[in-house]
Amino acid sequence: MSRVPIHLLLLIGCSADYELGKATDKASSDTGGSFEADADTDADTDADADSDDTAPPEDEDDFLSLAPSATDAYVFVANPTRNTVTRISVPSLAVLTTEVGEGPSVIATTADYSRAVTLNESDDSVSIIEADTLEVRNVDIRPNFNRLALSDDAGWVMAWYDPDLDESAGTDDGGVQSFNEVSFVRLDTGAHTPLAVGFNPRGVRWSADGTLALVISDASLAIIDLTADSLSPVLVEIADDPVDAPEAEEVELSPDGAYAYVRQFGSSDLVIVDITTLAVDRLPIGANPTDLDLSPDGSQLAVVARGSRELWLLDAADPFAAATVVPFDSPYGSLLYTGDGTQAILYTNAALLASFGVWDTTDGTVTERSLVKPVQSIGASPTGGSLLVFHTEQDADDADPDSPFAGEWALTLMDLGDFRQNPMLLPDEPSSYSTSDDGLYGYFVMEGNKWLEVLDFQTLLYEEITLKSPPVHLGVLPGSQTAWVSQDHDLGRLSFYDPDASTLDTITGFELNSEIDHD
Amino acid sequence: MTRLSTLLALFALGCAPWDLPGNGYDELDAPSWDPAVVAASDGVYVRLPAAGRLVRVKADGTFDTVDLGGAAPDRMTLAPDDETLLTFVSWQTCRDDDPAIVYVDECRFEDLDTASELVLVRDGAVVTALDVPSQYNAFAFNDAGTLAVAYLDFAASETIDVSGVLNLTEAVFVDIASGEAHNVPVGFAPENVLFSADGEKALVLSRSKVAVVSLVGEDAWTRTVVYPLTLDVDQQVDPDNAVLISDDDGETDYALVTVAGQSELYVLDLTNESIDIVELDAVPSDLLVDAASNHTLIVYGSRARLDVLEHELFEVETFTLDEACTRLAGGDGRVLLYNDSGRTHDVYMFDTIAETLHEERAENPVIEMRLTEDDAWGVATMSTETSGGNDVSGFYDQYYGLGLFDLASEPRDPVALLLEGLPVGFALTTDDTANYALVLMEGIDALQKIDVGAATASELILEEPPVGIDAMPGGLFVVTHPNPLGLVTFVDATTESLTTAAGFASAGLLERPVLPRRDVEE
Amino acid sequence: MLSLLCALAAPALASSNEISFEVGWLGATDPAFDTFSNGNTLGSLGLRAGYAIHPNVAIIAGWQHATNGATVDVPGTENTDADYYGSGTSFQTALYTDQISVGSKADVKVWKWLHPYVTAQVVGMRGLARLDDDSGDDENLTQVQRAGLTGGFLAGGGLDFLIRVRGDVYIAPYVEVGYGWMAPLALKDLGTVQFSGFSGRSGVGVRF
Repeated sequence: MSRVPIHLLLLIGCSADYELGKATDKASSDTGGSFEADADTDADTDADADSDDTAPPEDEDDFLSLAPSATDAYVFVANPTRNTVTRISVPSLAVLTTEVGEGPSVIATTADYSRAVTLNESDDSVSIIEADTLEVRNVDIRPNFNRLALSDDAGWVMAWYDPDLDESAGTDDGGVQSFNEVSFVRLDTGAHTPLAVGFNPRGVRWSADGTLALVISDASLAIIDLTADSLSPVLVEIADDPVDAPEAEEVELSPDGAYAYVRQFGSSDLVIVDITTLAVDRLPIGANPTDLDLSPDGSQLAVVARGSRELWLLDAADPFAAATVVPFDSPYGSLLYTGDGTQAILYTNAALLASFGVWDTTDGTVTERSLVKPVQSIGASPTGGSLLVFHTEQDADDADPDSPFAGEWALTLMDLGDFRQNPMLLPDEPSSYSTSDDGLYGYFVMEGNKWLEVLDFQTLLYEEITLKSPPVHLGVLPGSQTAWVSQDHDLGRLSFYDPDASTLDTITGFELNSEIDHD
Repeated sequence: MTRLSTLLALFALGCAPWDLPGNGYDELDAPSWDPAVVAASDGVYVRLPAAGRLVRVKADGTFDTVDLGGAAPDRMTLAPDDETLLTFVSWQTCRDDDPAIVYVDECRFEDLDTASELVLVRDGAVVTALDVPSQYNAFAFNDAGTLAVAYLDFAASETIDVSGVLNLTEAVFVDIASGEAHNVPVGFAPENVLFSADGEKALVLSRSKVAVVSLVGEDAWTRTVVYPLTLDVDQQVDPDNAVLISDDDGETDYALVTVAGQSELYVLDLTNESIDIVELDAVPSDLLVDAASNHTLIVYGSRARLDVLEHELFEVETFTLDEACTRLAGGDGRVLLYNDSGRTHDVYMFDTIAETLHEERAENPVIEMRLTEDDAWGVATMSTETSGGNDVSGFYDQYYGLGLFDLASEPRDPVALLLEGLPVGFALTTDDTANYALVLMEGIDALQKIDVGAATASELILEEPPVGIDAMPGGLFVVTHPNPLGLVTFVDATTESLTTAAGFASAGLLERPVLPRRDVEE
Repeated sequence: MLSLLCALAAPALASSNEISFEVGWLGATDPAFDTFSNGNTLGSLGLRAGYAIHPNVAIIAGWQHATNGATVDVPGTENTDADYYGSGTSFQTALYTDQISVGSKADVKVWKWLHPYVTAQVVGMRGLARLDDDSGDDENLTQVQRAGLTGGFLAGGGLDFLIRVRGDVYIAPYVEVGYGWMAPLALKDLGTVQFSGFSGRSGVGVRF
């Protein structure tokens, strides 16, 4: 019997967003975009820091950052070969399928759980699906796009072409192709507005009040007023040299929407754009800044300058006020705030460093702690109580060769209160991870292994749940502790695990629903 | 020239009239009668293949011929009303319309054709004739007995006659009351038909799909929904067994479909029109819906376990057995599990409400198990088995047996009765006082009537050794005997009275086959 | 009628009374007869008597009895109910027929010892068919018996050979051929069997 591996075709659209280092900034469906860490090419002349930071860029495209595509009541599954989206209701596991445009390659759900949106690469459209009724509105967009992002207020979706995903089409179909275009679609009306913005748009940021969208490109920032009757971009050049503009790696927007902050590859300056006046300023922020983060309350902007081993703290509302600089000893390049903002974790995945730093945001101190192995990625529970460290298979230079973790995959579960650790040996590399909103449970799966690993953040213990077939994608239903796991099955398989009841409910064959013929 | 002995026989006739002269030899080209009789409320209908006739044998021992307008009966099925006999009949036609050709043997072989139709017979007479092709060799009926569906049963493919072009994608729905027939395309090779409890739709299981046919309203006799069982056209998924269930609220109807050679159980939501697949541990050998608990029980020939499937989330609860079981019997609070493959002895009694499992052991491997009408007893015929023992077990192994299993809340040890010969017929009956098993054995011209509760037996002497027993509507039983001239015995188990009907297979033996309905042929 | 006319027109004819013992044949090509016999002829034994009403014409009456029987093999049956495959069985058949014929005979005297004649008769036949699967058991229930009546005619011509014994008493062997036809003999639900075709008589009798 010939079977088409469903995991090659199956994509899950997700709704909630979980912190996992900078890796959460990636994903196909979240609000951000793809910002790659840079490689340090400049010697730092600053006297107070390491000027010879030759480490590779921090890897922010983390495989563990797939955001879930569930609402609180449904999980949406797109099938590109059948041009359908299947909705599985939870907990009844009722299945309904609806047709969308051709070749849905991306699916996402709005923050208010009212809709799901697909990007249909084969016919250059988006499909807006009402979550409860499954009514579908197909809207044609500009051709060859392969990414989309939804606004936080569930009002808009933007689609664009990301060259880093050129494997998944959006590529040349033989005709004219533009690398400056984006499509905005209003979700309630289906109104489509194509725009030409800067070259090679990297992503979009939405203002908290939902009035502005900022499309970041390498050389420019396009500001779009979403309240206008007719959308049009206001282009702000942010590169010193527009001809050879550095790659824009990260952008943040202040909560009041007054300023946009851009970190560029290879630049030691932070680009600050005044949204109102469109003025562009540059602020030195140490040597080789590798990470830019907004604190959970939005009041503070933190920049990790790996080259100078400094943490630069700016007032998000007044970036030109004097910055606070916090030094640290090890060449950390990434920062992860805990959910409550009282702590932040400093680490690096660009070097084999088996340690991390804990920055106490209240007293400003940085305390370094050791790990059993170097860091590949870090995730924190949304409540800030626990940390999950995924380690590299490779060991640090000074690692003990007799350690049980030597040359193996591993993870460490850690309590951020007393920093108790439970390092665990893994049989394989983790492929997907997610946590519950209440911070009590985390879940991960390993490719090729038919287990769902359940992590109890309170006890730091794990439990292994056997699945019927190898897992592909993983997520947690918003507002609950129930994890969903899609698995390899040619007819579609999805399991739901409730850690309180310790029950695993599985629905198999939901892909058949797309072929149910109603005569 | 007549022999001298015949002359003498003339005079001897008055002394021994049944000493028949046997000088000649002849042979029939078909059996004189088919022991696969159909027991209806007005009598037993018997096919006479050699004579091409259908006779009705009544319980008083008389018989009459059903006038089929010159056609011969091919297959019979009794409708659930126990009165209507659906019979496929066929007759020869001759393409040469010379009026001088009257008999079949007068028509050239190459000019002969066969025509067929479906007739409904009631009370010994044809009430309706329908133009339904005779290739269909199986019927399914709705619970009310008002609707029949003709389809092709490929398990009995030798009975399928491919004449001309045969459409393997249709099923024919027959309204028994009105006699109307409706052809509905349902998918390739339909093999099983189920009817919903409300009678408004039928499920037709065919290769790689399940079709829902509406039976009422504007969509009547049309296919409304088709559920695929695979997405790969190169993959062949053949439905094996199916049951219809409802959830605990009775609001959602489902069809549970097993597939030949696969461990998947397809759950078709008929209300919301969706599909789910429950992965079972192995290929199921039998499944049964228990009405009392509203659960489905599943057993496997290759796994020693019983799976109980609830009807809300279709979660499986597993009960471990010592030996695998292949069959389930019962279904209203008490279910018997047993293995009819001849390899094991365990018999389990499962209380579906209390979900308790009680293990018993049959003395010999079970051939067939049935429950009495009140579900108080399981009665099983058992086979012999090879054994080297010299003890009582070794002695028992040499004989066929009858096992009596008490299913009451405090199960007792089963009773194992020895049978003299191979059981060839087995039926259960009950009266106000007791349950009885009626057992026929090969080569033994007696019917054993066994009181199941008391484990005692009485014998009803038959005219000849039997080959089978069937229950008749109304409480009688009919025993068939392999007599070439036709012999059946009607048994009233309550009064232990026997009525014999004999000789019915001789009807029409001398008739020269004619070309019937020739005037209406073109 | 023809025999009567011929007899009346012939000069110097002689007829006489007779009692004869004879054997007979009657065509039986009906396939239904195969159930009782392998041959295509109904052979019989009987008696004939004649009474001269005219020097050339006699009224004759006869009785013929035939007995035929066969063993009929029945192919094995498949009892799908009991999954039982029976081996082939058989049953015995017998057909007893009695023919009563009445007619006329007209002869001429060619020589003293040779008297050709013609005859025409009306025939009534009673048939009795019996089927039994165990003819050795007189009490078995599967004994099927069906009887029926039919009629027809015979017509033919023959030769009387007269051998004087004494006075007007002759020994008279004869042979007769012709055509016979019977309506189908209905044996109730068993079916029908019909006899027709070549008929013959041969016997020896006494003329006086």
